[in-house]
Amino acid sequence: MTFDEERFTPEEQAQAERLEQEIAERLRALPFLPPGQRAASDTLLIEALARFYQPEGDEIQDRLRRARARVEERRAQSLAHQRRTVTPLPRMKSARERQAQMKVPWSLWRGVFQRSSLLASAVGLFFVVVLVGSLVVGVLLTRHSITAGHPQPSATANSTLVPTATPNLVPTPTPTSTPSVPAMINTIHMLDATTGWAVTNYNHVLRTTDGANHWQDVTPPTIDPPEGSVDMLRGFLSPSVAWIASTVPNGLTGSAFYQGVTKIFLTADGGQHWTRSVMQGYLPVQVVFTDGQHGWLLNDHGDASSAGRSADVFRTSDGNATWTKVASSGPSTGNRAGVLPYGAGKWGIGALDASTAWVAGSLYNSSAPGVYVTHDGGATWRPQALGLPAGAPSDLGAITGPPVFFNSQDGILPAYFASTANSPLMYVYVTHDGGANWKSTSIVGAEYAEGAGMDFLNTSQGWVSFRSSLFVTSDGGQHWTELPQSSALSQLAGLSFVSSALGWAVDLSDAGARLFKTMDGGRTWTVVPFAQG
Amino acid sequence: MQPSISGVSLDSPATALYEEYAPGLFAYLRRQTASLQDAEDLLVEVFLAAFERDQLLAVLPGERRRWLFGVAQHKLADYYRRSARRPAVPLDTLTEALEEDAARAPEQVVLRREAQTELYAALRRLPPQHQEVLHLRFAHGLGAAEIAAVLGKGEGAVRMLIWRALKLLRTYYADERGMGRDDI
Repeated sequence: MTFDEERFTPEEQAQAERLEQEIAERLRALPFLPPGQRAASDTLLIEALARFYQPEGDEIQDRLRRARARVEERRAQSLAHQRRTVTPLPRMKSARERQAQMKVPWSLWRGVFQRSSLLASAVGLFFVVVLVGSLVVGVLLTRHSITAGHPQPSATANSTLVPTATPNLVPTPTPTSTPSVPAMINTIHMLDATTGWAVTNYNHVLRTTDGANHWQDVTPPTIDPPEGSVDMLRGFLSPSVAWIASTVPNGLTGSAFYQGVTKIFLTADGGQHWTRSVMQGYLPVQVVFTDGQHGWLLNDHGDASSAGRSADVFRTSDGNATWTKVASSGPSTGNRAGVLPYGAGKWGIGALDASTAWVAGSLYNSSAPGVYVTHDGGATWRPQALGLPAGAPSDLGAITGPPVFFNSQDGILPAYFASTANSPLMYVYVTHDGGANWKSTSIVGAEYAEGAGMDFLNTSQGWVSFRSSLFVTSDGGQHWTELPQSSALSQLAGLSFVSSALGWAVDLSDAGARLFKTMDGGRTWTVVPFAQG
Repeated sequence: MQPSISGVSLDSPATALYEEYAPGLFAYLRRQTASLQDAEDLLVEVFLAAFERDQLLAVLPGERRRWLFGVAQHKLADYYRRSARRPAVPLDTLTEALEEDAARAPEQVVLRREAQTELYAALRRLPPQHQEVLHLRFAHGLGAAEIAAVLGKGEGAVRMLIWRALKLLRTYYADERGMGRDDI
């Protein structure tokens, strides 16, 4: 009798289920546990197996990374070739043509590295990888030392004010070689019922003043590269204030992937003018502004090991004119009190104002969820351990995301458990005292995806998505309700609500990215046609 | 509305697709090829084909795994034709990996290997299918559903296989270490 034909008793099946769960949990927990920690009966054996297979597991993960880099490189070459033969912005196409598939930027390879977390022995390599076409080598920049008195070992910046080149979208000539993909919105951020921002799959920055019915192209003219295939960091604070950062790494592999040229564009007038600063050095993981003048930047040196990862924090107080390094974290600064520890996970930055900011990720030497906070503009940092939500698996490490604030007192801080993509567990912390205290809430079966699938109106009303599921809370995350699934949605990739009823979402399907609108808080959705100009 | 957090992830479906399918495909290719390098080469070919004119995105989400494994099969067929090589045995790979590792950092690996000798001996006593499923689970880090796709079995059967393998391994391991089951 072969194995497949064998019959199992329900008890055997239940035991097998439990074991599979236990293996999954132990493997996820392994990076967070002291070696040899003993719990359930199979723990030691599972850990022994994990260690036994680790050499090959590491090799496999290396191979997967290498294969990814090779695919990226070949794809970049092919995109570069395409770009030489087409005009920058594709013309809008017929509905039928629009069925053509979406060209996709490559960016976060988070999951691949997360799943190897046990083998990598660190919490997981969590970094932003930006792909750039090999076409974009000829970036010319000038190095200027910026803030006097502050050493700038790894980054320099200069800043200029540039008007937006095309306030209205200029019709482009018909491409000689048709690009395969029409322009589509893949990020939307509405500020009220009429005004908002969006970014297209070709990295054009758009602005609407009529409730997402029409869009004006306000892309900064000197962004790198001018077209497609690169994900950019961005944020939209108000109808007038927004920023966008393009990054061009020096190379596609190894440490060259983490260094290169960053251009940060900031507008305070709704995209009519952009200030631009150019930095050379380690590429940013996140850029945030708290108003039109003050901003923070976190980079990553790409040297993550079991001992830690190096990173720097920069700050601007003059509206993106100069960026000053205010904190460094590396082997030489170590883990002593007051510094941003080398051994901490530093995966995102959020700020309340020019003096107070949080670096989120994971704590050094602790499996408790937590963040590092500064109240003196980045000079000193202290850990802020956060409580676990009710019903949390206590031995699973929680990863924190950067906080966002609605005013000087109220804010939320998302977090999720290190787990597989198949079992996402996220929750938020809520503060009403400017981040001094954070209260944990309930776990919801959704994925924290850098804000893409999460939107809070205030500290009470919020939505999170996972694939086509949408969850809503009206008590600040204490309780979550799953809304009836809309058959119109495939994979929600961006949410933006402006009231408890009115909201927009980007949905990814085989037809590409489409913009949807709801007027009943996410229960029903209708497609919004995308029209520029 | 909150200030949006900069950074992106879900607007990058190709990334998500690689994350989701590359590990399982790699394990599948690894079973059928002579070396890790060959498996890596084929994996690159599969994903280049998948993203060529965004083909994979045109496949319905529920069909993508099957589509990718289909492409992988074609690539494997080409590979066999080119090389006339035959599939390799998984546990051999592991010993190779350990030996390569030993060459890189002798002291550490010898220490680790001493501690792991009993486990290795116990693993070798397992039936091949049990060895393979543990290899896929622990070396490749695949979940039961992914292993099921790689082996062409049902997910429930894979869970049972893992459970049986661990149960058996626990017994053998106790033998090798000369101790009772409760000590493990």
